[in-house]
Formats: sequence, structure tokens, C-alpha cells
Amino acid sequence: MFNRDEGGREGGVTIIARGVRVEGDFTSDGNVTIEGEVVGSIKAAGHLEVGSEAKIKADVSAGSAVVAGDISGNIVVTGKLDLLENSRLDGDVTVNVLSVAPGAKINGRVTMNGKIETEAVS
Amino acid sequence: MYLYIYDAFVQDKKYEKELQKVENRLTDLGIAGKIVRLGLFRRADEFIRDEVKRGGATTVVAVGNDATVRQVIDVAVEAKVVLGIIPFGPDNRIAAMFGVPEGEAACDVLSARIVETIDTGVVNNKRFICEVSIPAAKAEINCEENYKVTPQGRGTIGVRNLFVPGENESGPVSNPFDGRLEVVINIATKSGGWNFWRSERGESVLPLKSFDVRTQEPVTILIDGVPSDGTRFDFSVEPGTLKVVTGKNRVF
Repeated sequence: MFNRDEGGREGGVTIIARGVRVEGDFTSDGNVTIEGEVVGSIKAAGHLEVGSEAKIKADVSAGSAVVAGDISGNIVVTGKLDLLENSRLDGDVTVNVLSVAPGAKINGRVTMNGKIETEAVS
Repeated sequence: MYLYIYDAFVQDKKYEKELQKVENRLTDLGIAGKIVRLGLFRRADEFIRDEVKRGGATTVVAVGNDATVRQVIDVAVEAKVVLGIIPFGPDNRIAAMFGVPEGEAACDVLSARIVETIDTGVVNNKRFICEVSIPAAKAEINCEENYKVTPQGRGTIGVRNLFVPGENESGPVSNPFDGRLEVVINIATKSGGWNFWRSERGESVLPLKSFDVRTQEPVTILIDGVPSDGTRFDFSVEPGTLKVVTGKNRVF
């Protein structure tokens, strides 16, 4: 049932559900799903999902991310960042590939491939 | 050499016939060994340490249930001996996870000797194999001194090393080879919408190596089913420290 060879290397999946608050410097070696509240900083080596009811006041870095809720803080994504239609980002974005759905709000600078491409205000 | 630790309740008359069958089967298989019968004032760890010191015991077999295993784990890890189980009576979740059937059939599993080395969880210097359950209470979890997790309400907390959810249980499968414990927090949150009083259960999962749980009021936690009281519980994991005899129906 379990993969012994890879078991120790993977960080496992972290879920912060509704009704749970995290304060401080949160780090994960694996994938992270957030539906609750986070204050501080978030570092996820894998994929980050921010649910529609999530409230994040933190600087965020992740391998890739899909955001449906609110983030107040700077965000750095090495892969692709998907901002879904009701998402809101108050902070600067540094990303390799960016997808913004109609209705998503970005209040901050967007930097792609290490260069500032645009400055967006909702 | 095999050292068999008989729990006090196994010596009850209702288990007499089954115990006799087990002893006969162990003799037939050539794995009979020294028997230690636990009583009210006899601790398993002292006997095991003595036997290991004498160079005798290489495999310690808990004859009983989860509570019996709980008495044997610490010394089995420290003495680096193999742990086997012959389950008797109710509350045998650990044996079920190891794929060890009850009573006489367990002797064949013991004889086949499929040994796996798994992680053990530690809470307040007591080791556990499967799960520690913390009842609903106002609590906070301090994780590796970097961040704090606070359920916004009274939530139950399960800390799992080896766990496969049963019929009325939820949560992910916990892998006893990954060097982590899964912390599963379940709290009821009020939902919006048409039914104000309806509540939904939110389940958070955190894979961690070391952390502490502090509750505002004293609570009774269950360490592999065995109660323990307190307000602060320090958790850690010891990767690859326990050798266990498993059956082909093990869940890991």
C-alpha cells in the first residue's frame, strides 16, 4: 500500500481547512491546500491551492499555484499561477507563467521571467 | 529466542482453551519460548530488559491486545528486538493493521516471520504505533517552533503514524515509513445559506516531524487506546525504529 522508497522524500499533502488559523512561517515540502486563514509567510515546494474562502495575509512562494480566494502579500511562483475569477491579490507577483480569469483582481506589480512586464491596478 | 508476554486478562478462564491451542501450535512450529505472565504489580519492561541482557530474547511477543502492545513497545525499541503479537480479546487494532489474525492463527504469522521496520510516534516520552486521539478542546499546535495552528473552535485532533480509516472514520492513510506524523484536525464550522444551524466538518491535515499540542483545560488523550491525562503533549517521530512481525494482510 505504501511506497517506502519515496515515502521519506515527499512532504505529504497539507490541508488547512475552514475554521483553522495558522500564524508564523509556514513551510511544506509537498502540496498545500488552504481554505482557512494564514498570517505570516507560506513556502510550499509543490503546488498551492488557495480556496475561495481562504484569507491569507502572508508573503507566499510556491512551485505552482491556483488562487480562488484573497491574498494580501507578495507572491512568487516558479511555475504557473492561475488566478480564478473571484480571487484578489494585494501585493507584487513574480511568476513564470500567469493566467488571470475575468473578474480576478491584482493590486500590485507583476514580474515575469525576471523582468517587470506590467503594473496592474484593479 | 522468543519471549511471550501474557497480559493479565489473557489468564482469565474464558481464554484458557484458546491459550492452550496457541501454546500447542507454538510448540509444533518450534517457536515456543519463555513465558512471562503480567499481573497487577508486574511490569513487562523489567522482564524484557532482563532477558535481553542475558542475551536470550530476540523476539518479544505481546499476547493480549493494544494495551499489551503499548506496554512492550518502548522496551522493544530500546532493546532493538523484534515485536510480535498474538491477539486476544477486543481492542486489537494494531494487530489488525499488522495483518495478524486472532488466537491460534497468529502463530503461523509469527513462524513465517515477515519482519518490517516502521516508524514510531512519541508523545511525552511514550511511544505509539497507530494513533493518539485528543478529544474536543480549545487547543493550539506549535509546529517545529516556526508557526502555530489554532482551530477556531473545539476540535478533535488525531495524531497518526500508521492509520487506515475504518468505516466510520475519516482522514488520509498514514504511512509508517515516511518519517512524519499526520495531524488531523476536525472541527465543526457553521455554514452559511438557508440553514443557519447546519454545521460542516472541516478537516485539516498537517504532516509534521515534531510539534506540541497545548489545551486550555486538562484532557484525557488515548495513546493507541490507552488513556493519559495532561494539558501539554510533545510529539515527535522516530523513523525506522521498530521491527515488527507482520502477516500477508497487513495494511502497509
